[in-house]
Amino acid sequence: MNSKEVVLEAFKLGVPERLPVTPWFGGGMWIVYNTNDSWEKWPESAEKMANTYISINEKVQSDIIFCGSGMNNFPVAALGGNLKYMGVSAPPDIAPPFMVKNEEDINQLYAKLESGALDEDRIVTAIRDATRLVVDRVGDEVLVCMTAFGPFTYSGQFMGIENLMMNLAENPELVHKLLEFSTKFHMEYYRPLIEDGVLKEQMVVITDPMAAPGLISKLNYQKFALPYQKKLVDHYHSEGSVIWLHMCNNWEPDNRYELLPETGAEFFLVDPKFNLGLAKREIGDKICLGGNVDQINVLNAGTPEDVAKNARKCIEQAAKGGGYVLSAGCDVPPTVPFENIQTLIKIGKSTKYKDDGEVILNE
Amino acid sequence: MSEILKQLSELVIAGKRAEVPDVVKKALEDNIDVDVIVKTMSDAMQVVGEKFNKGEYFITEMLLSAHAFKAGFEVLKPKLEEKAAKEFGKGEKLGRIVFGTVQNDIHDIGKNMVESALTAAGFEVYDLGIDVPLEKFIEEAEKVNADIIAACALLTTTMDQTKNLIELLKQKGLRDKYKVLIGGAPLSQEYADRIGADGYGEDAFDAVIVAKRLMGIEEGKKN
Repeated sequence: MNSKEVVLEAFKLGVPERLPVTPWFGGGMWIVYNTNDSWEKWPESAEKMANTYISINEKVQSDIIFCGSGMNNFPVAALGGNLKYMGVSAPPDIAPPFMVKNEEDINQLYAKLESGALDEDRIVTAIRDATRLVVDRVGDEVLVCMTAFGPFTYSGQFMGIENLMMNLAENPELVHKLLEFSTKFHMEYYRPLIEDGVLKEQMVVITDPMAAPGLISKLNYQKFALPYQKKLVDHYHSEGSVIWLHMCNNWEPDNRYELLPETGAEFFLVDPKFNLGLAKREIGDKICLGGNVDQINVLNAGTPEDVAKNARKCIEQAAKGGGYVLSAGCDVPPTVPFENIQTLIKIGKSTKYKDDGEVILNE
Repeated sequence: MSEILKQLSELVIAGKRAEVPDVVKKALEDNIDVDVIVKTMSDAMQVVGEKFNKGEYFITEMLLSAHAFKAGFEVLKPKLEEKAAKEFGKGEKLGRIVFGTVQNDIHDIGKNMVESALTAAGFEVYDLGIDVPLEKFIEEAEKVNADIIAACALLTTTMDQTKNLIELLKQKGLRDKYKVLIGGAPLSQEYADRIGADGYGEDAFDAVIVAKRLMGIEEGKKN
């Protein structure tokens, strides 16, 4: 089984030959930082981006390549959002936010989207084209995706996060209208790749950090985030893609984890704050899980021995029976030492499965 | 508690920011002491904090309550200033806190909530906003004679600015002059210990407890 096959087998809740592994979720910042590039120059050419993704992955040997990582705000900028660059070590963000205040503002966003603002945007085109090139060149061997935020988080970028949070209570109708738009916006960002079949048997990422526990209640997640995430999952499934879902934080209180399989996504990335063993016991038979190696205290600040210890703990908690991808619990800081990444990959790739799903951990 | 104060408390807890100013005005018309009104709203925010800790409240509910508190506080501000001028030296704040989100980080939602909680608890907070250069934290702290420098970071990529802030204070020979309080999603007590911060606040209300501790004020002993 090659890289792509082991991941897809795990996504099907099956038992692959060996443990699928990726050192990061995204890794865009790490790549830009470690190739001495800058966020301003990085998207200049799709060819350069694609070559970098491929050459870095030859070195790193991740089972998944995340195209567009760190660039989730560029499509927002294409609709007129003001992109703020914050040096090489943080992804560009939208500041100040759009500040959608009413239905008319949402209609204006629709008008921009329908006039082809995304297709005309140089950087959006470069991200899509880089994804095409990576799929074309290594997409049979490695699972490839293009990353984007989920509808709730994009709505925060359009309305301002604070306003979005308060409008959940004060103006829910407007929030639903904006969420409808953000869902359409996500589909529109991916549309040319989907139409051309580029992401068939490849991956779509929905990362919706603003819809995480601690930020909104379980009820609000059910009302305002889950239905729109599900709508995206259904849409991409009908086009043959698999879905990687991520929201940060701890999903244990209120048994909120029960809702994750309802999205329909194949995979959920477990944050270091969420007990991976509990997740595996409670929902591991319904959705493939990944994580949750601590990207801050271990991958970034620890030694290779610390990484090995954390990785083995994750494997013990979640690998048995398949349906698991060893990974960092969220996007990694750019300063993670290469030897720590190598350690994680080595442990993943040397961990084999018996036919009955028992793990053979290579000490 | 009078009916009007009870109503005010309920409105702050429920985050009805549009209705709070009128009720505060009504309380003032009823000649209720301005300090009593502030205390009613502060106690209500304490309840909000408890609800947050219990997992009953989330960011949405906290923001609505914080805005409700702020809206009431705005109405009282002139009265409070008038009173402060009259009774100079009395009813001093718990401490001065210079506060901001570190450079290259533009997250302000958490910072605003912590600011509201600290103000509600009785601290004098100087909000430097977002994307604040390290030098600015120190300049402002020197200017206002602060007790605590509070810095938050919401990105794994900006969190090390809190470490750099401590280094810069050391370089300037000012490390012992200020307590450094840090917070933000990627941070932890473990991280705070590693970089030598004086305190770590897990959320807005924890930040209040830690800030009080840094000022040598024990929880439960109210002024």
